Amino acid sequence: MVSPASVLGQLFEFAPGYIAMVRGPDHVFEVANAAYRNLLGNCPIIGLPVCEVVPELVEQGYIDLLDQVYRSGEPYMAEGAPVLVREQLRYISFVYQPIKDRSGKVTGIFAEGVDVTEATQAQQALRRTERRLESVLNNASVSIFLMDERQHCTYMNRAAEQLTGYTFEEVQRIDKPLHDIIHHTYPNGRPFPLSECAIDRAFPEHNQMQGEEIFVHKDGHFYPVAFTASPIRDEASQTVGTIIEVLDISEQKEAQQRQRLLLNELNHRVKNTLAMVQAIAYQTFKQGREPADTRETFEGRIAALASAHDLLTGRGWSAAPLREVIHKSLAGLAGKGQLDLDGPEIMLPPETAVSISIAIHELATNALKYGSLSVPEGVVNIRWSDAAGRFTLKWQECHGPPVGAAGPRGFGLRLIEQGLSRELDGRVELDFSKDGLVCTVDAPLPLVK
Amino acid sequence: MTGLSGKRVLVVEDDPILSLTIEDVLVEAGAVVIGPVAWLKEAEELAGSAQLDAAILDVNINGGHSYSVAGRLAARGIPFVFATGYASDGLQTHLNAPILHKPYNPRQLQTTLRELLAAA
Repeated sequence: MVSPASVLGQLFEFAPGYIAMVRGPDHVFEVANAAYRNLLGNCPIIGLPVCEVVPELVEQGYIDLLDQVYRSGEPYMAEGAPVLVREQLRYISFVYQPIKDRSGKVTGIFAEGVDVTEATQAQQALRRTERRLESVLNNASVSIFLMDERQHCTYMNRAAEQLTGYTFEEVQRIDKPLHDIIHHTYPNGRPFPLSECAIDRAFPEHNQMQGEEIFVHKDGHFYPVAFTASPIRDEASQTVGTIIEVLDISEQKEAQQRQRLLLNELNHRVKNTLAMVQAIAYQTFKQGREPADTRETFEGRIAALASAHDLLTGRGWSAAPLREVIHKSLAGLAGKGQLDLDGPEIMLPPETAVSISIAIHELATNALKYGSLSVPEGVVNIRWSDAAGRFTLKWQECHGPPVGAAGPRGFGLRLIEQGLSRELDGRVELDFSKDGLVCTVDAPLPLVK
Repeated sequence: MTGLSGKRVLVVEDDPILSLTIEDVLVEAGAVVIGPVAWLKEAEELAGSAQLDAAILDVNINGGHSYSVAGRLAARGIPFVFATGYASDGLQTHLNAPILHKPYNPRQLQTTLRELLAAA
């Protein structure tokens, strides 16, 4: 049979918390459990004042606290207080409970503490991580928004506040889907309903979305942005929200606009210069020493050059579709129904577009003078293909007058035969067959950068 | 055949080489050239009051646009053609006038003006 007193004694002795009792104004240890003694390195303590056993507590203010509890008779409680004991920092939640005699006079203090070092350190680590994330997010130049499943904003970093003109608190107060706060109107003034917004589709469609949109600033002005919207998933892979990264692209857009204007201006000047070349030719040839068709040939060539330029400018000097290049070069040179064009969509790099354009023009003027375009029933078939990395084109005249490879070749045909084959690094052949001129081009497919 | 013979055509063009050539081409076709003028103010005055059958307007005139001149001609029902080195998507085409893209050859100018006068 174990006595109740000894059960209590054992509970006290082996309790995991620190328990001790001190007596008198000098806080002399009367009793301390194993955990407490262990904390102090199991040195002798009973009968000794706290300040003598644990002198390091004096400087930390804990003796003053004991004095205060002793004097006032009021208990003192602390949560996770840092305590340096025997050169070890521990976090302890504790209570100093005054012990009073029958008359109410304080005679000692009951101290009980729980070591919360691990929990406190875990919390501190968490707070450090939070602070680090916070500083990353708030120093990022890209704006970041988090949205919940109702499309309400649950987080905005500093860049997002600067971008939109709203503070996070304001956005929370407005209490609407984020879209209705920063993306509510199209630039033309039409309302922009949430259901039409690509950004918000990242949530319902569980996909990452990217694109460009135009947002509305708090002060009402519109600004272009590039965005990436990604769904946020919980542990069960359920989509619970969206993270949106947004970048202001006003400057890029302005730079693009400037570049377009500059290119337009350059093209304008080039064409004005070509116009002057043409006028000078007109004035020079007018004096009558040259036959009229010399002038026409010259003007036609300048016009072909200009039309190729025009086509390329319309596409920022990147590439031009072959079909359009051919069409433009033939404009005004062939009658209705005299052309038969067929081939796949092929994009030509700028230099090739200009060369082909001039070559087609030369073929057409030749056909107009001597070939199938010189008679109403004449036809030109143009076929092209881009099989296996090679580019082939065939110009075939039919129903024209009989032709022969008469005499030395003029500039136009030499340009086609020699100039074009060099430019394309391929083979260009002119065949003056009885039915009409056939021109075939076979070259590596020119690459568009 | 000419259809331009005796027609009074206002020429607005600020480049001296081009304006001289346009003048020659029109005179060759028998037209009477009003101008050529290189300044908007003068062009606007002529467009508003001169006796005219047609006009050819360079879109960019000494840093400005000839749209105001076009407006006056349109108000008087005088047909006109724009000439420009710009791609057509940068132009105000609300006036519904034909556009000659520079460089155009002189016969193109004659043809366009003849068509314009025939339609008027």
